[in-house]
Amino acid sequence: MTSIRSRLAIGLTLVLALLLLGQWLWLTLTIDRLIEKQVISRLQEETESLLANLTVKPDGQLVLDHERLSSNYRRSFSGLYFTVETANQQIFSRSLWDLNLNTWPVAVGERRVHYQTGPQEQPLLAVSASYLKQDKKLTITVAEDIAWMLKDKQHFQFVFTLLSAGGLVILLLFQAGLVRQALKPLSKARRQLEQLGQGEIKAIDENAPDEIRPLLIELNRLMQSMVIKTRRSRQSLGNLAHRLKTQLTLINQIAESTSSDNASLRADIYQQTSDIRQIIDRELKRARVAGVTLPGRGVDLPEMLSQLTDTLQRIYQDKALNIDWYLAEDVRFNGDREDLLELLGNLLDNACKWCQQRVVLDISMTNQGLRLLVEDDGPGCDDADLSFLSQRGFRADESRPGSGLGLAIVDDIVESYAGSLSFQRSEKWGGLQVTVHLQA
Amino acid sequence: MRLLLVEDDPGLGPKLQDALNRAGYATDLSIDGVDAEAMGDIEPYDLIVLDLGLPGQPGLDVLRNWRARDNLTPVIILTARDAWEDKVLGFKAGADDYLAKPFQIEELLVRINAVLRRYAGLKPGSLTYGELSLDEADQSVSLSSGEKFSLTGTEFKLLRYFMLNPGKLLSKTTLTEHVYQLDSDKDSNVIEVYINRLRQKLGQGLIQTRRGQGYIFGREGR
Repeated sequence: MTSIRSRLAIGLTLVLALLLLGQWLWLTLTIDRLIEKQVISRLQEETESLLANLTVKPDGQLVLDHERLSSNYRRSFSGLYFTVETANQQIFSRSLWDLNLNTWPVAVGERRVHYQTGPQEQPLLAVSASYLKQDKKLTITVAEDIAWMLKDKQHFQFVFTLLSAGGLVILLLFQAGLVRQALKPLSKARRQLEQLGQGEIKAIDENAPDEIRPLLIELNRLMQSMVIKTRRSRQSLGNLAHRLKTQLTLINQIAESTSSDNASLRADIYQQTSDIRQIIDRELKRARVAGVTLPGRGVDLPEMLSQLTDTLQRIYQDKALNIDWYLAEDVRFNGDREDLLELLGNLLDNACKWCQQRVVLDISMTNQGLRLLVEDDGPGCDDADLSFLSQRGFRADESRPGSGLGLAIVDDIVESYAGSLSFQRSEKWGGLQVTVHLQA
Repeated sequence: MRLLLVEDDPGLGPKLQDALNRAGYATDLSIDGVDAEAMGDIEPYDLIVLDLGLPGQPGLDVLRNWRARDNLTPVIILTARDAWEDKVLGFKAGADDYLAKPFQIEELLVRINAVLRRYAGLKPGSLTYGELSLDEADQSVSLSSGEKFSLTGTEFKLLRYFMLNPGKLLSKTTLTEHVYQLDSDKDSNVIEVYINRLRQKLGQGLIQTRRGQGYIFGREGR
C-alpha cells in the first residue's frame, strides 16, 4: 500500500463501519430487551391479578372467578392465555381451547420466563410464577402472543439498518472528499514536479501547508544550487580553456618566430601544442556534459536545429551543402540543451565533413526514448572500421582535418543519458549512418 | 588590407599583430571590448579578428553591437570554448568564420584570405587577375609568362587591395586607409610613389588614374 490517500481511506472506512455496526447492534439489542422487559412485567402483573381472583375452597379445590378476568382469556386463540397448576389440579383459560401451555416447575416466589410456540403457531412469551395461597402451592403461567412485537422489531431493524447504511455512505463520501482536500497540496506538488521535469516551470510553488513546505523549499533550493553549480563550473571550465589555449597559441607564435632553420623544433612544438589541445578539449568537454541530473528545460528543438544547420552551412559554405532535418511532432527532449547541441553538432559536423552534399537528420520518439538518425552521402566507412569509430581519438581517415575527438565526445554524452550509439552504412544515401538512442 | 585584431592577452596580441603585419595586413591591435567596438565602427577595416574572452565587454556583445549598427565588416572569431553552443552563438551574432585556439598563424591567414575572397565575391584559392597571380606566401606576383616580381610590403598590400577590388574607383584616401595601420605615418602622396612602382613592374595600363578622383585597377574592356 503506497498511496497515502488509500491508506487514509481504508483506515477511516474501517473505523466508521465498526462504529456504525457496534451502534446498530447495541441499539437493536437494547430496544429488544426493553420491550421484552415491559411485556414480562405486564405478564407478571397478570399472574398477580389471577392470583387475586383465585380462591381455595375448604375441600382444597381451587376456584377461579372467570367473570372478573379480561375478556381476552375467554375468546379462543385471542393471544392471551393462562394456566394455573397445583399438585392435583389444572385450570386453563378458555382462550386456549383444548390445548395447553408448556409449563416448567418453578420454586415458590420465583419467576420464570420462556418462549414457546402456542396454538395456531403463535410465538408466545410466557411467564410462570409460583405462589402459596392458604398453604397451597400453585404455579400460574401467563403467555402472550408476541407476533406484534417481533413484527415491530423487524420493522425497526429494517429502518434502522437502512438509516445506518445511508449514514455510512454519506460519511464515506464526506470522508473521501476530506481526504482529497487534505491531500490536494501533495497532488499539486506532484503535478508541479512533472511539469518541472518537462521544463514547463522553473521552480515548484512553495505555497503549501506546513507539513510539506519545508520539503518543497529544500527541493527548490537543491535544484537552484545545482543549476548555479553547473553554470558556474561550465563557466570556469570555459575560462580555464580560454586561458590555456591562449597560452598555447602564444607558444605556437613563439615557435613561429624562431629562426627558420629550426623547422623540426617548430614542428615538434606544434605537435605538442596540438596534443595538449586535444587533452584539454577531451577532458573539458567531458566535464561539461550535464547529463540528466538537471531538470529539463524543454529544449526548443526546431529553433536549435535551424540555428545549428545555419551554422554548419556557414562553416561549410564552400561546399554546396544540403542539410535536411525531420522532427516528429511528438518529440520531447528533457535533458540539457547544451548536451544535445554538442551531440548533434559533432554528428552533423562529421557528416558535413564527409558528405558529397547531402546530410539528413531524423529525430523521432521510440519506446526506448529519443532516436537520432544522421545519414550522409559520403564515402562511408569500411565494415571493419565501423566498430572502432567511437573509440577515443580514433580516426577512420587521417587525411581530413579534425582531432578525432568528436565521436568520443558523442559517446560520452550518449553514455550520460544511458543511451546507445551505433554505426551502419546508410542504405538510402550510401554514406555513414549514425543511430543514437537517448533516454530523455 | 586593414585589419583589426582584438586580443587581450599581452603576450599573444602583439605577436599576432606582428605576424599579420608581416603577412601584409596593416593590423591594429585592441586589447579590450569597449575600445574595440569603437575602433571597429570608426576605422574602415576590411576584416576584424575578434577574440571572444575580452575584458570590458564580451566579444560576442561587441559583435552583436556592430551588427545592430549595420557594421558589416567581416569578422573571424577566435574562440577557446570550442563547444557547439559557442559556435552557434558566434555565427548567430554575425560572425563570418571562427577559429579555435590554439592555432598556427597559417591557419588564421588561410581563414582571413578565404573570408576576404568571399567578401569580395571571388572564388576561394589564390588571388589572380588576368595574367597576374599574387603569391601571398612570399609576397610576390607572377605573370602567366612565368616572370616573377617580388614586392615590398606596401606594394604587396596595395596590389592585393587592388586585386580584391577590381574595377572600382579607389581614392587615395581609401587606399591609404586600407594599406596603413592606425599608428603609422600617413602621407597620401606616398601612395602615388607606390602606384608608379607597381606600374613599372606590371605595365602602365593596369592601374588607371582618374584625375582628382583616384585610381581604377583593371584593364579596359574587361
